[in-house]
Amino acid sequence: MSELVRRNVPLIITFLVGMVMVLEYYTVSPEIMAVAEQINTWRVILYACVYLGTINLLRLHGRRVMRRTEGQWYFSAWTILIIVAYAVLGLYYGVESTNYRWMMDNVNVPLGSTMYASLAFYMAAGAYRVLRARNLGVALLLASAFLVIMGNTPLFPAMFPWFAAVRNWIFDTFVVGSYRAIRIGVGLGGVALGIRTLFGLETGYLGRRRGE
Amino acid sequence: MSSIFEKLQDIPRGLIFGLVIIAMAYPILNPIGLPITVGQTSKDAFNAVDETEDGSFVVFHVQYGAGGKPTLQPAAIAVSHHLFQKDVKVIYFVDNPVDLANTYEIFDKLDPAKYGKSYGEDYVVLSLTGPFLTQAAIVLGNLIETVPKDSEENNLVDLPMFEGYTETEDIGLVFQLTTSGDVSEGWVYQAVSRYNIRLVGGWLSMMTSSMIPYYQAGQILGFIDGSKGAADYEVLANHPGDAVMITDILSLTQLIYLALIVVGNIGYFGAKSLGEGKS
Repeated sequence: MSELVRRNVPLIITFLVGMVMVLEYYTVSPEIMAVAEQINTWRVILYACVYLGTINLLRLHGRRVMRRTEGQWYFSAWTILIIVAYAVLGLYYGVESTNYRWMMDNVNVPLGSTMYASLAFYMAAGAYRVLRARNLGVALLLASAFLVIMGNTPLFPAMFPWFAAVRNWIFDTFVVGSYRAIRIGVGLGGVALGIRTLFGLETGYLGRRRGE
Repeated sequence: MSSIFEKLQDIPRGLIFGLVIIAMAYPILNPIGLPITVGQTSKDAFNAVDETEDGSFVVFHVQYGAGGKPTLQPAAIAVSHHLFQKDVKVIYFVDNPVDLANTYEIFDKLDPAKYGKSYGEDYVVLSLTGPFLTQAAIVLGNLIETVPKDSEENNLVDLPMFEGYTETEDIGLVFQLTTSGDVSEGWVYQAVSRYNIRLVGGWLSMMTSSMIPYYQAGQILGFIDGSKGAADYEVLANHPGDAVMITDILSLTQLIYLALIVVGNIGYFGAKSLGEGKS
């Protein structure tokens, strides 16, 4: 396939699909809306290609097991076993079955909760070591962190309602102002990137040209 | 004297972790019942659900996996209690197997039959795959054609609740419970900007700072702010549960955080005043 076709065909497809989706948002044409609906449906179908990742994963770990890669192969074997076990359970019994839910509830949920709960410990150690008023900047951060933590702690606003008011004032004034600025910046950047992509000026998603 | 300040700056990590464990475990073993006041954002969320028109559909997105479950599952149960008290039809929408299990656990906990609600007539569970913004667009705008079956392989058109369903016009509210920033903002783009549907949310506290602007702008009518918000909703829905117990844990652990910060600073300034502090 020539380089011209390899680059131009994706650019044309991107332009056409992008224009349909943009027009669907700004117009009420039933024809355009129908095409946009079809594109949305196809996006779901194309998403199924994600499962190709599972095959790649199996190949990678399968190779490690076959070669008995030192220090890795038994973890890879365990990964394969778990992938296959979940797939068999899910396909045979269905993901809403008691068996599948049992495995989710007793493996995924405790592991996920444990990973997330460990943050509480690191946050305590981190807050203790980092939040020291070494200079004016850190002192300001410390003061606002202290007030926000007190406002977020259910006990304090229940006893002294002004803690919630102070916390809300910090959020409504500083946080919202800063975040709006960030979002507007991101939004404008997104629009610029979208326009450049639509018109073929942004081609990073096509990968590198040969020889680059 | 100097060694005391030095020690206050260098409390061993093991001791800090031990204190946090005690602060977490004690309220579980001996519930304290520390006071809470219901926050305004939770009241707004509750009122938005309350004001949803009778007979309309509510899309309830359950999307927090295992990590967010301790925070958001109690909220999902409290909101479901509230929804089942009302005359609305609920479309539970999930996009992964963990949340499918979480959703069925909600039903196990609250027993919809107690409210006279039955599957297919008053509520349904949809399991979708795909990029989130596309899923949201499909659920709100083109559900029946794109997702012909529910998670139990029933044809949607055969379910009584979808008789005469006209997609977007029938949806009175979207309620999202999520741990994902992309999803929480994505619902604003799809439900509010695209389809002009009322939106209420719930998420982890650390996401609140990024979502507050949408609440202030009126795009999100109210929200559940982490475990504290979930406890608020349990109180408002008159079904106190796990979240109320978790607020005791929150209060105690955050007291430990505050105490540690104070101790660290006393150590720092004490050592500095004696000219021997760590920089």
